[in-house]
Amino acid sequence: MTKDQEAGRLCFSDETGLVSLRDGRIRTKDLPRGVRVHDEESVPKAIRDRFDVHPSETDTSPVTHYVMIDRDQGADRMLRIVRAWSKDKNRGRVAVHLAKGAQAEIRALATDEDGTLVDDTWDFFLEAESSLVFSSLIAYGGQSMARTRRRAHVEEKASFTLNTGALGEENAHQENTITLRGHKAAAFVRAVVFSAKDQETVMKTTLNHEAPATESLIEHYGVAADKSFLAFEAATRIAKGMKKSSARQKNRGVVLGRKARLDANPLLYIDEYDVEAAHGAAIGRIDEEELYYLMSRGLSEREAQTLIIQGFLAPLARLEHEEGIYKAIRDLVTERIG
Amino acid sequence: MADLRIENLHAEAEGHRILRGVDLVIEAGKTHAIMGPNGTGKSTLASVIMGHPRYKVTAGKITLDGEDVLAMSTDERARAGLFLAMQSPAEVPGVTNSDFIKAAMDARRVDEKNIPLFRFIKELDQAVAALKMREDLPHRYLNDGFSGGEKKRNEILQMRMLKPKIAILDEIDSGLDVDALKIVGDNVTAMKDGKLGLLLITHYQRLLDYISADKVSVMMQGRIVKTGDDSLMKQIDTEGYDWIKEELGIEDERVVPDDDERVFLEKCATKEAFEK
Repeated sequence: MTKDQEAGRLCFSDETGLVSLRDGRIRTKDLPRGVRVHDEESVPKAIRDRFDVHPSETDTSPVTHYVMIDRDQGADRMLRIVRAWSKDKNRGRVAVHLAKGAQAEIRALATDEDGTLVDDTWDFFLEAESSLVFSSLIAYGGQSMARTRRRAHVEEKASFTLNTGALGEENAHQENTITLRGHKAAAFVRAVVFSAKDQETVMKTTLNHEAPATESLIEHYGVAADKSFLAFEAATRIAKGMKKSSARQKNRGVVLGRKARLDANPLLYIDEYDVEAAHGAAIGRIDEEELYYLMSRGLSEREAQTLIIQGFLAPLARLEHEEGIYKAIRDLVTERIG
Repeated sequence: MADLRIENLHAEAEGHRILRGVDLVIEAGKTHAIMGPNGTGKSTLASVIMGHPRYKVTAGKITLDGEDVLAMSTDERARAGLFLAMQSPAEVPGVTNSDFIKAAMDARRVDEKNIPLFRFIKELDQAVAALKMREDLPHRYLNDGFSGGEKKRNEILQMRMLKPKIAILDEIDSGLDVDALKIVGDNVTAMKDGKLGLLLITHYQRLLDYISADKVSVMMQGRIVKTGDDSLMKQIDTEGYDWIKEELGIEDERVVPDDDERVFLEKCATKEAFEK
């Protein structure tokens, strides 16, 4: 166990496929075959043209770290990306580009120097038949404010999975915008947020179905404790002619504090008849029967509450598979339930 | 050796008087069965003993080895040695069985270190095998997506791991097919070590074919109206409850309002239906 892990910070214990982005510099270690990481002035024009992205959409941050994943990869297709922000290095952008048929999994951690105004942008470009599972865990300090934008462009038969966890103390605005551009493209978003004290957090996900037979799922899970405010905004748009598309949304939240507030706005904009769509929101306090059941086996009310909340946040499971992260998530939740 | 004593217990829920003077003793090393028609207060009694927040005790007392149970919170009752195998246990998505059971076992070891992981895993694996449950049970979320029968077996598995002094099994036979009933019966019988006090709540005599009872009581109108032995149980099995109502001059035995009555389809359904 490293010193950072002992101190309870978020750290990967496995350093294979590691990309460390600190103070605008890249450090890489044991990159899998077929993966290249380097700096670019901006997202390359060829990619912008291919994905029909206007430069203004990608050029708001000064630094672009560019991750290219080819189809020809080694057996280990895992990348671990660590981002650490400081007050004077607080803006950055990462563009991830998967070539046709490429498959990859990326796990990203982000921490900061407390009091930083973080401005973080991710652009994902998935060529046809590629597949990316991107899992991100953010825990910034209580004096920090963070704006995180993730934009994904998904081509034909490509699949994008976004797992994101926000367990820090910062005021945060996270915005995910995914566009399904090709036939049978798919996107699955699972966002987990824990807000406490007087935190304000907005988690917004927009999914645009711009091709037929596309599939999407948005899941937002959250806990609002103390006096915090948490808002889930989920919007799915299915354009006219995008037949046989399927869109689902789930928003689930637990309100712990009497003064805490959790809003959920699940929206569907559908301009086509031949589609399947469902959305819903379930926000409430911890189920009394669940609490009673756990207490009936000897767990104190606090222990039972902690276990239920940890379970509620279990959708972060992909990151839990990382040794060290699993414990860090649990410790964070236990500490923040207070 | 623990005795659970219930004296003149009255309790209500949302303004409805349900328990109306229950007197009952569950002795260490003995098995006491409570039978009775639907809505007579049997499950309410189990819930009140365990401290369910829905019920309010209005009179009477419950003691465990002389300690006032009603003064304890639900978790304190559990740590004092009480266990309730619930008729309809909650589903808790995200919490794995193993995390839950380990947390419950650790909570009981107030003055000791947590149970060593290796020992815990070994004990849990043995319990899973004994109850013929799926091998991945420890990693499955607590009761989440379980069939009715799996939930009941999971209750008995927890009982086996937590080793209570007094265990109350609330309609543990509902939702179980014959094979599963035998497995549950064998496991509970194996836990009878001369110290465990057992209270079985059931509608049917068939549970008592697998777990023998020393005493049988009948509950109506929120109290115990008759107590006997094996012969009382057999008479109920062949003649039902009407003769008791006639004998005691009871016209309406129910105390639980209709709206509150829970209906479990699997109680009457076929084996295939349980697995849905």
